[in-house]
Amino acid sequence: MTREQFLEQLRQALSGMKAEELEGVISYYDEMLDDRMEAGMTEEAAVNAMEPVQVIAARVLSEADVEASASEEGAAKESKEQEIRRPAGDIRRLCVTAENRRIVFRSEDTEEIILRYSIEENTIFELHEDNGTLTLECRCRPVTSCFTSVQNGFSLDGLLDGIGKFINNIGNSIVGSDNAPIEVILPKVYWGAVEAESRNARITMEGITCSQGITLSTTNARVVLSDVVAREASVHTTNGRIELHDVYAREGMNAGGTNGQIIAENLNTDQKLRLATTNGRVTLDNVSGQDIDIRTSNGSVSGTVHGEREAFTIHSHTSNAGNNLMNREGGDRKLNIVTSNGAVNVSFTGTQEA
Amino acid sequence: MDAQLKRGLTEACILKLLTRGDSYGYQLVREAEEVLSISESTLYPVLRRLETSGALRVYSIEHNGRLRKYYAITDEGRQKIQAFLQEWEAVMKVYEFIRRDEA
Repeated sequence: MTREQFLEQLRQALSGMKAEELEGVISYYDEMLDDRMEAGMTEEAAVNAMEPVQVIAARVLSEADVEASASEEGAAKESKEQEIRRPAGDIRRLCVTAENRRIVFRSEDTEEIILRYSIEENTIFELHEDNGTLTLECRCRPVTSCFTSVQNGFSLDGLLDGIGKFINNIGNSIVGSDNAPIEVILPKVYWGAVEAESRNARITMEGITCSQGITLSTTNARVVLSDVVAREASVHTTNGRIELHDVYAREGMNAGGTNGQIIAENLNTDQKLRLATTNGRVTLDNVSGQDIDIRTSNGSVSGTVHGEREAFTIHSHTSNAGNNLMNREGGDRKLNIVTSNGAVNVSFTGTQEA
Repeated sequence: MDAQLKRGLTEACILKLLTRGDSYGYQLVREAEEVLSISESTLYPVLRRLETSGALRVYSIEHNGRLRKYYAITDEGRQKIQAFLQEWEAVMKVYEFIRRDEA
């Protein structure tokens, strides 16, 4: 390629630029070619020493964008509160996933599903609706890309700012609670299923009635349900507590995790109830189920189970601590309690029906 | 290397090179190679930004029957080098903090 061809191709590739800017680029490359030829290169070698026109154009244009958008960025930072509304009848399954951001479920007198969240610069939100499934996904930008918002040219304030954000993001990925929560508002009775998955941030659910299942999971944070009714419920966390207050999951309840305690109060299922953790105690208050299975280690299991002792076939085991439950056969309901290094101290509420 | 990080470092390097004396594009690309490799297309926006922010000024000199652009560091550019060095003290503290106990 001759230098004229090269410069012409470059001109074409940059044709969207302002004329003055464009001439600046062209004369810069013109001079570069002159200097290389003066240093002894042939015209062809000098042209070949340049990056491909597309690469140059892409870089020059992206830099021009950066300069142009630097001034717009301030405005864009404002008003990032989002509210999404969908008729609840159209959505049979709602999925919310979030990284480092709390998820809060509650209900209102509404026929809609309402999602509220605020977009911050280090997060990406994606909303999908597909065949009755509404999905909101919140992701953190990769930590390194903090630096892409540095626009201040050389002033290293920008770079420091980027490093500040870098540190912040590392912090967020550990703590995660500074971000405004994602708020999910459902009708008083929602005819569908709810799934939520978070990382490093709490999930809370209050006053929700679902005709289908509820599946919640997080890490390094707690999950709290109160006043929740669902066909079945599954709750999971690691390194966090699970609190279940006034929860009825007709077809089964499964709550578990590691390194966290479980608090279950007025928890009721007609079928299987499984509570499992490690390194945490399990506290029961009027817990009811057809088949109750409670497991932990390095923690005690204490509290009350709904019903008469005689109604249960009981298997319990602990090591290195006391156990007040006498194992017995012959009940039409099952109660299994297993722990280690923790006491079992469980009693029964008796016959009074709640 | 992160693009923004490299940009900041490149700007500082170019200013430093100009403290040795005024220079032009091709020479800057070659000289910068001792510390970090940059291409023409990387250098161009760097020069533009330094010019816009007043850290360098540009003048043309006739050379072999053509005009060649020369870049000269300004007082502001020199201050930026000082600011760079000071700010990197803080960066290095962060670096040491992050590096501590890492394998």
